[in-house]
Amino acid sequence: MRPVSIAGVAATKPTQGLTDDVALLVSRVTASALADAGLGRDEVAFTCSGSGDYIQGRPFSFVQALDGVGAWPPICESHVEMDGAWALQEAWVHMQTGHVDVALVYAWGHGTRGDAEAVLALTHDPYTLAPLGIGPTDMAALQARVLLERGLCAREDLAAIAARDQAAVRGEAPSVQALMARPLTRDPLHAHDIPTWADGAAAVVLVAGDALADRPHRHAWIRHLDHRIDTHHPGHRDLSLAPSASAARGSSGPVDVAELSTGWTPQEVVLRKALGLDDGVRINPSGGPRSASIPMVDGLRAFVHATRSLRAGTADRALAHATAGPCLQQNLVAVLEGS
Amino acid sequence: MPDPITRLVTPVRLEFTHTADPATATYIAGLGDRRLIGGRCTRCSRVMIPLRSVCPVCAVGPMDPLQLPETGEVSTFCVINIPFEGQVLTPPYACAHVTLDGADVQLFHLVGECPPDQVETGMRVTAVWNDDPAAVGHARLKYFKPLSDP
Amino acid sequence: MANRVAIAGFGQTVHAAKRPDVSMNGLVREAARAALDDAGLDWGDIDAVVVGKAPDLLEGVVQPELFMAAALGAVGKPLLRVHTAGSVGGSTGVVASNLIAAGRHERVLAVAWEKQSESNAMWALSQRFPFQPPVNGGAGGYFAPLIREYIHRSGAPEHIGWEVAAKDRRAGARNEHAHLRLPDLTAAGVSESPMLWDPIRYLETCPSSDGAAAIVLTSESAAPDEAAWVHGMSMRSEPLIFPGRDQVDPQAGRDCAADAYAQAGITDPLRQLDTAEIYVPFSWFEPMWLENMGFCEPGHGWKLVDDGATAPGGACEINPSGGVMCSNPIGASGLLRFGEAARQVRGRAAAHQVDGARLALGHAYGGGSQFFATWIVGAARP
Repeated sequence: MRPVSIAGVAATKPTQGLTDDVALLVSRVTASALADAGLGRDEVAFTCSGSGDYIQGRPFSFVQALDGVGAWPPICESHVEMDGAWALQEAWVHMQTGHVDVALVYAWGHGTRGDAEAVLALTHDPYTLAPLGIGPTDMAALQARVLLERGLCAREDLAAIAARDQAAVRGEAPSVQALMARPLTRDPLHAHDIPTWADGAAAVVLVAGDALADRPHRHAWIRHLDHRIDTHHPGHRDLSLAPSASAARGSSGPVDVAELSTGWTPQEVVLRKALGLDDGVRINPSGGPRSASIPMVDGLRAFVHATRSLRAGTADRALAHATAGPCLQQNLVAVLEGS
Repeated sequence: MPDPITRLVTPVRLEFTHTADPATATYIAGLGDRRLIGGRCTRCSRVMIPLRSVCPVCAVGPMDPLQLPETGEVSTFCVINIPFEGQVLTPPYACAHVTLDGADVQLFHLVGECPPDQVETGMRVTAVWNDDPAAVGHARLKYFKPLSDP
Repeated sequence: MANRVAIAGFGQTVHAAKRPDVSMNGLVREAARAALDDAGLDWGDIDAVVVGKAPDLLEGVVQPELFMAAALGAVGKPLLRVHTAGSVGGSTGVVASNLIAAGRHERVLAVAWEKQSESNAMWALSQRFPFQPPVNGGAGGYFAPLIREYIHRSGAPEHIGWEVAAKDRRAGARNEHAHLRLPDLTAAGVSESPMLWDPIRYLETCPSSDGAAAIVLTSESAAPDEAAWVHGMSMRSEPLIFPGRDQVDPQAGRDCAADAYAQAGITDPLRQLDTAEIYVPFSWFEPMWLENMGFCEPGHGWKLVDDGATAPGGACEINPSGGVMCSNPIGASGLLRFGEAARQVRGRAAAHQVDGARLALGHAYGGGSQFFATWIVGAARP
């Protein structure tokens, strides 16, 4: 396996009501990541991005982004209708062929442009599930119900996860009792269990380990990268498990921190077990995506946050996770190591 | 025994709020004032219209706003013969790539006040404005018509 | 470094305006099953699945590959979904091939599909967005001015577009999977059809189809005896509008072809390639893309058509399957080109086989002529 490092990262501060100017958004975040890596646009051999037409509210929405990336003269470029974490995976694979030494990966999403809950409800089987009008929060509530009824977690545990993540973002931890006292939004979930949608972008620069040896980089090495998918229909799955996450984790070794794409709190309960993360692992020191969830970007942001932890020296090995589909149907897991 | 169900109609309705970025807003506001606002890239100096926030060649912005003349040349065109939803003019009518004087890109827009079979590549045209107060945004630039002066 | 990539199987659906006899799952499984059968493999043999399709609004389902995971045989496996506009079928083939080239997997299933009869294409593609000029006319209205410019630059006579349209529809009649099959169509017949977006006539325009294509790619060690081999593959993109852009002869298309040729050792594509499947949604794109891909000098593509070089028996028959002019499930069209090229060099193209084909090219483009994907496949190991 050709060693690949994350040499540059960038992420915009999540916001609401961001304008339609995808080119400017992408131009800024990719320029930041490249500057962080100390590389110029002309040194990039492959560019790959992630975004969603339905999230953006227009077909072929990724075309606009190309104006911000410097695609002239023409570039070798691709796009996935998935979270940017999978664009990173595609770029990483391309680098394994030996043809690409430097890759630029980016993702953007406008979670507040439409009703993200209604849009993501259309991810469900159109013949049997979508007509029920259920969205991802309904599915998360179903998952929480399974966990509670099997005694796999208590409501207080979900509130504690929410409190911890809020503290990471705001600096002060609300009390579990205060959170639990507020009304239920989607029984058994409260507002604190559910993500707030946001808009923004992230970018990552990958460098093959054996290339550009003369340039200093603050490396985060990708030691493991894998992804799998489970069956879609909730009736065919045990919602307390995420076999695809376990399979994607494989035997990638211990980690100090984990940045999980857990917009909904019950997801963390499932993933802790599926990914074999014991109590010693710090989960979402960044606060995770709950306070600001950007569709199609949260997974790539996990890579950004994990890399920053490694650079700051607060971790030696970090796990980055991305997910798609209802109740953790599809999962991508990476393990990064500082140099 | 009823027939098996083979088709199911599930209507979808989604609402999106699109917000113009400052460059696009400047262009559209300019149309309201009968002005065609393009932009010059601060790095490559090429002129684009509408005004953009980033030059696609250089991937840098902002571009310097620049008002362009109302006149230009047809670089190519087609004649639309068939009806479709949202059409503004009744077929047949021409749509043209118009290179405004001083611009380095083309605007794709309708051609009016000209029989479609008389539209030609190289033809000089000028902008026609829609002064109806009910016309908003892009509708203020009604179409391009042949310039009578050679 | 990069491993060799073998094409072990290719399958496709019968393409039609509507396939009400199958669900989306049924549509892709029809193509995938055919590809697996062609490869002598089964679902359990596949290590990873790569799916490509065009905007999800065309079926009204967001990321449909998620609900189709089980139907795609992807449960427990890596699944990737590519979306690069019209070129997506091609880029799906490239992305899937990279998984083999990188040594990541032994057997990969690439599937590309579109079932646009499920949704409303008008709703999906032609919404009125604010802050955008109200000039629409669909793909025809977009490409017609570019075709006019090509005709103007090259001085091509008007019958060229009619000849290509007739040639492709007659070819489609030899392809049992094709949507449009018009064995008796002549150039004169095309010239009499209504003018839609002058200069494009009705019979010079591709159909809109439901359909799917699938390819099974393997490593060298897992390759069957009669595999086809990837000799070169490439992708290029350029922005939609910028100063100096040439939409008639886009640089991204030139660079994409040049990259694939360099990998495959091709210096004279017209002579060295036995056949090519290129993305021609309006008949005039055949001479335009031949020039863009260096089959001839700029301005001379129409002469290749006029001389019969691209017809059956010519120097390089173009689109022996009938091409996009006969079947256009948007997301699948690129992979159909890639797959048809592979089947030619394996001698498995049935009634539309080009005799003795051993080296062939597959090409796809998308967006405002800005996304390109190409592969070159051969009967011999590279």
